Amino acid sequence: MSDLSKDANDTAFLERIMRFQDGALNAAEVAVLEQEMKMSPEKRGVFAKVQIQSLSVHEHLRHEAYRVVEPLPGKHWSQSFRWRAVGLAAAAALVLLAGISVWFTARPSGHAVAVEVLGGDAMPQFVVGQRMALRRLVLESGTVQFRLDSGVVVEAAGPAEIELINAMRLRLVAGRVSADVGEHGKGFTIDTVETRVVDLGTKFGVDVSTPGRTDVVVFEGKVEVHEPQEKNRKLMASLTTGEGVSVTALVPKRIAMLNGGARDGDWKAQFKGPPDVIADVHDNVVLPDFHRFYVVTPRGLKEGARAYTDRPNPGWKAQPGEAMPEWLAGADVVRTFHMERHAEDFALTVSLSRPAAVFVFLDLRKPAPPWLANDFKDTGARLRLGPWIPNAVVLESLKTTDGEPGFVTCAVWKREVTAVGDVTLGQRPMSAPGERGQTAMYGIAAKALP
Amino acid sequence: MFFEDMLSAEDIATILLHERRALTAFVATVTRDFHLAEDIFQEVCVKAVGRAGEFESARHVVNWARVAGRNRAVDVLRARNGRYEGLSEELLAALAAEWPDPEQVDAAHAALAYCLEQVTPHNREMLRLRYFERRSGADVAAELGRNLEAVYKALARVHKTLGDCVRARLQTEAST
Repeated sequence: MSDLSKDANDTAFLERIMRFQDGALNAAEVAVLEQEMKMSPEKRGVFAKVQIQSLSVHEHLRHEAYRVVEPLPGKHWSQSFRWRAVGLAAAAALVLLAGISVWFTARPSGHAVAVEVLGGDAMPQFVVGQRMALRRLVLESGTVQFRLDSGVVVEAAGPAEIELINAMRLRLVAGRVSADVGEHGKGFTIDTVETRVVDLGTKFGVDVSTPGRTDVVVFEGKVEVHEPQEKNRKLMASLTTGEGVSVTALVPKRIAMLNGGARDGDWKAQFKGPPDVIADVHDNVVLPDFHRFYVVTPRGLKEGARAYTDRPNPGWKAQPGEAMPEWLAGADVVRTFHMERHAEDFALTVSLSRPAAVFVFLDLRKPAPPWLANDFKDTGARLRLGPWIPNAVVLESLKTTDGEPGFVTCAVWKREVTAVGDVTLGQRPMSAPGERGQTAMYGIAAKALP
Repeated sequence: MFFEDMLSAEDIATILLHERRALTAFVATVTRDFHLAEDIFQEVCVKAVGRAGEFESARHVVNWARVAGRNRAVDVLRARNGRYEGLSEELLAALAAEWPDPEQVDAAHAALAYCLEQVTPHNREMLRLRYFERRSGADVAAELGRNLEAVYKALARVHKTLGDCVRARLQTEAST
């Protein structure tokens, strides 16, 4: 090997290698480093030796750290599942390579963090109930849900890479996680390149699937989104239930729409696949610190489908003793937000990817506003919206048993849109001054025309 | 089709296990991230074993693994960062041709265990933050209350010191 001590007299060259390893050289500086090495076999030798020495340092320090970690009962997490793709023909070779796999188990930085596997569809690689010491999780596909000793439940959706720092902190390197911090997880932190997300008691999600961008959404509770650096870290956004931001270059912007499933953990701010019926939803609200999002669930309208992003309980239900009409069930459904932030000129635009029937579910207690009465027809079908918490303001004008959860009845309005494009909806009917109660925010669904 | 003089899956696995540290360090020249380099090395191993019957020698396996590792690393970086800004294919090929043998790499690795024990606690902490916790130079500087330039200089000095120590250690072992 080249003699590092002899060649290293050129300390500037060594320092350039340090910057290169750190990704701190710009393109011109990389070109200078490259030219130096092209011209000098000795410098190539020094470079190779520093690279190898750096890897050795990395391995020695890891090995040392791992020695002090108490092993947990049960199997340890292993990336050995990757080998399964190779097939039986290579099974004998994999026995030899298993040495590498076991070695990888001990690899990630920092102390191992105890986790318990709760579920997911990345089975059978992970066994429900299995406890393991985990420092780094690389999930190529599928999901896995695990609980930390702090009580925080984390769901990772592959492809994802996560480093576990301790029971109250993780670093999301790639992919998407959702967290339910429970009672004792307040302060749970997720670091990304762009942000530090600090939970204040909540269910929330973080996605770094797009390089240079971190998406943060809150399903319940509150989180703070800070700048990522250690010093002079500033608060960029404070989010509550139904709010989300996308952070690029320290600038948080509202996430207006998520693609979501029935569960909070099943969400995506960046929809990349072919849209079903509803391709996009956005409104014209421009207010400081306004971060509310809509959720579109393809084919998601079924009994109990969640109605709002800022209320966990109310959902769409058929009338008692009835089923949801066949022409309505299975439509793409939009979760709107109930919070009273809509101005008189509020406009909500639904973009359709194909000809479709668009449905609006309107609180039956109010007359249809002109934008609805002019363009839509009342189908005569009725849905129930609830349950609302007992004595909710929205129930004040209804006869409900005191202390019992109540339901609001909604009319199903329909408009057939035969061209691909946008459908614009307006403000919900508002309560008159002095009138008791509040109108429920309308719901939206769309189903492709036959 | 398999030929009798081609390497078996077991042969390939043995070769790659022997070359692991040298190959991973080479891939890290592209990734500049040892964790990622380790992942890519593992992927390359799987692919290589799956191609049993296509390699005729250990050199063939190693050369293929270097190219496959380099290409995979570039692909991953492009997918992750949208671009690859690193050393050229030409220079990487020149480095590959001169890359130290696994015996040399493993001997230096063993000697480094002793040499790391001689490093001051402060420098050891700096190495730990940079190479174990994968912290950036700027993060290390902030953590240690130093400026970034001082951190790069200090890391360069520690590498030189460790290199001196490893060389002396290997010479001592060779003479006894």
